[in-house]
Amino acid sequence: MLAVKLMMQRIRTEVQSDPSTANVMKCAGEIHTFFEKNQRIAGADLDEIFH
Amino acid sequence: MSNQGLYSVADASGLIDRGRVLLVAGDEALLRQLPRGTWIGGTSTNFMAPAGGLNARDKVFVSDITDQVERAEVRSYTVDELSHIADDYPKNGFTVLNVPAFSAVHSTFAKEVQTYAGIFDSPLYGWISGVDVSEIGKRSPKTFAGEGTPRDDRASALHVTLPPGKAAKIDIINLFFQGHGAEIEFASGGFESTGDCQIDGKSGNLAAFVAANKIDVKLPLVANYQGAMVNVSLREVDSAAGKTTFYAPVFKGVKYKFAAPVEDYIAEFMRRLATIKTNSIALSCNCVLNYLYAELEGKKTGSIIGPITFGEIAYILLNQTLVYMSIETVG
Repeated sequence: MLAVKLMMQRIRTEVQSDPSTANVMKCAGEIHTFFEKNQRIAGADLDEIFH
Repeated sequence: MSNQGLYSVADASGLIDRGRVLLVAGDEALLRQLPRGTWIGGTSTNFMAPAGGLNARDKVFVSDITDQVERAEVRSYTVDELSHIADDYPKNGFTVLNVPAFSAVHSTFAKEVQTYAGIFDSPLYGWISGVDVSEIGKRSPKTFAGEGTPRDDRASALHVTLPPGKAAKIDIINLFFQGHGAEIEFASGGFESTGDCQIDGKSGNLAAFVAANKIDVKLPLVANYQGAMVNVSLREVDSAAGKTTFYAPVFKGVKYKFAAPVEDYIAEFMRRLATIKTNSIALSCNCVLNYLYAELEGKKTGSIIGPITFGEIAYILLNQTLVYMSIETVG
């Protein structure tokens, strides 16, 4: 899913520039929120990530 | 899937007066005449119509999405307000965004959109409004938010709620992949590169590199965003001044390569189109650079029709890309 790829690119760049625990947790929260809101349409991407 | 095509101002006005939910592209003089209603618009004079690519200044391109939506809200945003656009996202739906080219809202959106809170949480589709190619530099591109007042300093948005059981999904057809040439990184991001960048790990000037290697300036720089190819098109290369300008910003920390050439745009496009489900596509737009470089006037891109634009929005700003939005039935 395009949104997943674009979001993960931004997350990756952000974590690389600030790998602090606080920032990683913030980014993890953003990923969680994204998949929570897009569960129905991003289901295949979730399966690929976690299986 | 939505009702799309070229309409006279009178016919488009009739649709608006009947409460239809529309996305409209056309010449500024025509959009100014449209009445108040549930529509947003942006200036453009090139379109991929059912009969093929054409330039038209006597018709507007209308996408009527009324029958797919439960509710739609028109909004307008200044450059400062746009960073909070996700606050207005519908709970289940999508947002269409028009941004005027060459404006502060365009450059700020392009550079900062990836940092906007929640920007990826709901589908954001749209395009950068332009002008007739002959009028670049003479007129400013405009957006319209629900009535005929043109703005070149604001983005217009339509926040659309879909019925339960439906969801929107955005995807792209980008024929360009990273070629096998040098890897390029920029010390700072932005719409221009002067001075040095890193070319295969060594300091170099991009404009000088393009000239020395006789790179076709119609080819974009391409970045690989976790498997999604994202283009940055060249606007101007001045090797004497050592300056390159772009139609989208380059970003620090991103690795770019010039694209591999595409020999036959239409043939390659049709090959890609055959791999996707087209019957659920509701909206699409394609880049004016594709239109010009691939000589799309009079040619068709299959069943995909829509405005020809000065940049495309699939959450972020894209160049030389076709963006489409589908409305799908979900569990």
